Amino acid sequence: MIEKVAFGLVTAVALGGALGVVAARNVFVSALWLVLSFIGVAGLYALLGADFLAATQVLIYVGAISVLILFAIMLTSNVMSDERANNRQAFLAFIVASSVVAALGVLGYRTDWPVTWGDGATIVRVEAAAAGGAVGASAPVTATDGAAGQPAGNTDGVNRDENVVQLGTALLGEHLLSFEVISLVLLVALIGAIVIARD
Amino acid sequence: MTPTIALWWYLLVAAALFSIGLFGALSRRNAVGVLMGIELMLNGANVNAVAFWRYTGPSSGGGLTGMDGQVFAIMVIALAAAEAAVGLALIISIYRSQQTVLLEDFTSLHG
Repeated sequence: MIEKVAFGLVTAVALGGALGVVAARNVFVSALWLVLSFIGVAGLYALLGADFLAATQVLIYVGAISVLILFAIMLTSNVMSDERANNRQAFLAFIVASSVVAALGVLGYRTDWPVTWGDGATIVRVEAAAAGGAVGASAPVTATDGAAGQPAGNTDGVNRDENVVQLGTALLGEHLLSFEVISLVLLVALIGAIVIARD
Repeated sequence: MTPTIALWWYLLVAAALFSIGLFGALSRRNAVGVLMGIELMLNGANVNAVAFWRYTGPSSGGGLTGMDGQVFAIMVIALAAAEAAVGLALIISIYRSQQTVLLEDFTSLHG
């Protein structure tokens, strides 16, 4: 019950903020609504059990990208301008967006997803890591970390930090190549942004 | 035990976020507004990835550690940061030369 209430609240914040972004006339007000929407999405991540992602969302989106957007707005347009915010294709865009949400909603509801949901997701995941340890190359690291990293008082077999530990192991093991490529992309993009914005 | 909130609720929220962002990206006159719409669309896709990770990921044999959904989401966040930095730098650069951020005034490549 409390989970449903929390889901409703977080969803209202995320979607209300998003609606504010597209409904506000002033682009500065849009950016402020965008911050609210990002916070709502962070709440969704927290509800889904992705605690590290929720913190990352707050740090990067709310802390960095929003500030970047606000800076760009103040460096370019007249903040107080109250001109027409939408172009002539707004009605067409509304039709396209509503058909997209209708199609995706019907697909999401009617498809028989292979949902695997245990008694507690953490326990399921620890068991999965232990089972993968027999065949996998990087899984034993996780399993050893989970056993050795247990605090003394936590003997129920559930590692509370297992989410972050597994994420780090996955990023630097299985997904090492994409991790390195993404850091290179980020570096190149930021250097490019500096070069473009300077002259 | 079934989850309290069915998976399709999260999918619906993600689809709504994506569509609102799509509307913003298609209908805004201000280039910064279009970028904000794109950020909303990326967030919607991210919610989808994390929801599928939570509901079908851990024991469905996707990867060795079963964290693919969250890794995807982190990649998308990093790409979104890069995209925002480059996009806003472009907008600032165009504003320097054209004195406008309205997309219909960007016509120097118009034949």
